[in-house]
Amino acid sequence: MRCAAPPSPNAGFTLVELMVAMGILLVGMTGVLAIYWSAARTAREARDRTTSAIIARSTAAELAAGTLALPLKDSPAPNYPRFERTVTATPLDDAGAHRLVDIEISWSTAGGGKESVVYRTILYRER
Amino acid sequence: MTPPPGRRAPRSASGVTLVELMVAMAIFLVLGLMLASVLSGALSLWREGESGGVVYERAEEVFRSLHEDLDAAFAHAPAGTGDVRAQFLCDPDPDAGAPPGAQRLAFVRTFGGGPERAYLADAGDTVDATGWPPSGGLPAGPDDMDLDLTSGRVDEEYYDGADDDNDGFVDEDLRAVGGLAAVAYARRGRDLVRGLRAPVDAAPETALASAQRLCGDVLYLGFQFWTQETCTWADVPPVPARRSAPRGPERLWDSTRGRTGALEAFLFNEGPASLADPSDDVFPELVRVVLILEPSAERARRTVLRTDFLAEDEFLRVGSTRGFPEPPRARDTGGRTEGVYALVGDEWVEYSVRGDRTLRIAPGRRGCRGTRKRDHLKGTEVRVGRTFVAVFRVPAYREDWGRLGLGGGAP
Repeated sequence: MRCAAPPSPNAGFTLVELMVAMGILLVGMTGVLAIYWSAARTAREARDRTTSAIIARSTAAELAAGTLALPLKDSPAPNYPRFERTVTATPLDDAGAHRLVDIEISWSTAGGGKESVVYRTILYRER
Repeated sequence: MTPPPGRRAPRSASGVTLVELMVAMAIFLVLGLMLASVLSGALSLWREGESGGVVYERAEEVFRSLHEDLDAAFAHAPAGTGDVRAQFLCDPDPDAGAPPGAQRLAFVRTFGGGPERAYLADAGDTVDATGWPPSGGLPAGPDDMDLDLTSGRVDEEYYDGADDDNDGFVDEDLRAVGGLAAVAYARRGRDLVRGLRAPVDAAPETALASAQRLCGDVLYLGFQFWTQETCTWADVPPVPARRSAPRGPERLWDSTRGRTGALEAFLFNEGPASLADPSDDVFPELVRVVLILEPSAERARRTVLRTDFLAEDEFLRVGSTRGFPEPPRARDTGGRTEGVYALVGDEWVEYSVRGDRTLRIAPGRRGCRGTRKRDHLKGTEVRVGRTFVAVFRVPAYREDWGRLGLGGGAP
């Protein structure tokens, strides 16, 4: 009759035991990896948002100085590949001296998606 | 064929056979390798993200500081005083600790109270050498709110026109010292430093004497200025050879327009007579800052020259171009795209083609960014860093009213 051998003090691990152990290890490591992965993604998102703020501020400065030609639609941001900017200006008074300006910075994320942030400001310019 | 029953017990007791052990080890090895590769990939991604993130934070910090300072830049000389202390300067840094071609930026900004306070607070230096006021009483004049007659601390340069303290200014009662400070930015080795000095004296760059480190691992810090003549941020001269060519930004600034030395090349320079005349001072409209930082993780990835790179060479042969940015395919309509640059030793070059181990230098783009082209020996380090560009507006902007166009000049 075939039956399992009685446990013996020097029997060692069976292949099944080893594989179960490794499976558990793998699951555990996957969890750790997932944490790393999400941390890396969060860091990248934060970086992109910092960049978008820098671009928006520069755009606002150039708009205030009047050196940027409007309208600006999905125009690539100079020196920052992957980033695009769209500017919409709405006059707030008849003379058009006060303008409500929305600066939308959009960028493509690593996952292939698109993300965007809108920065709103009021520009005053005498004509 | 079944083995005799008597031989089974010892075999089980001996654990696994060699074949089983090898199969287990092979599976273990395969899984382990998979795990290690995924883990190392994730780790390097994480490390890169982490150090990259730190670099972004540092760049943002520098930009925030510059934004705040430039926003508060002070341009107005107190009326009737002839004070030229409200200066705005950018020139090649003569300091021995500055890398070749480095610029320094120095200007005066307001602190605390606005410019109104700057005129009035702490005016006067209490130095009196001429025995004013006269016994006949005070002459008619502006409010003498800073004269303290009872204590004998009298300060009257404005009234008697004598330069009591020999500081080159006859202005004490309206001297704009309170609420003003000189602020300066420069590079010292791999550091970006910022200096502050108050009260303001005749040279804002003296603020660098007590400069503090603002940021490390800096490969480059460049300032460009948008003037009334500028029409592109592209790296072309402010006065092009052809009149119809687009005029680039100015890299020097001298609000007094009368400084000598390197600043004589400033677009609006009017000669030394202009130094003491605040009425013709000019201030830039926009300041564009290019900051290149080298993340600490990338320091280990620096590449070196495979062969000597001589002053006439057009090809840069390096160990690897991994991590080097791809050159932009087409410049956008305004020609505003910052090219891709590499730092070879202490010389900046712009490249137009990137190969696996070779970079082709764009025509005439050796010795960029204020550096000089020269020979570099095999083994010299080649670096790129991360480039950050920001544009800041200077509310103190003042253009040259007497100037109608390039070459027009003041009447």
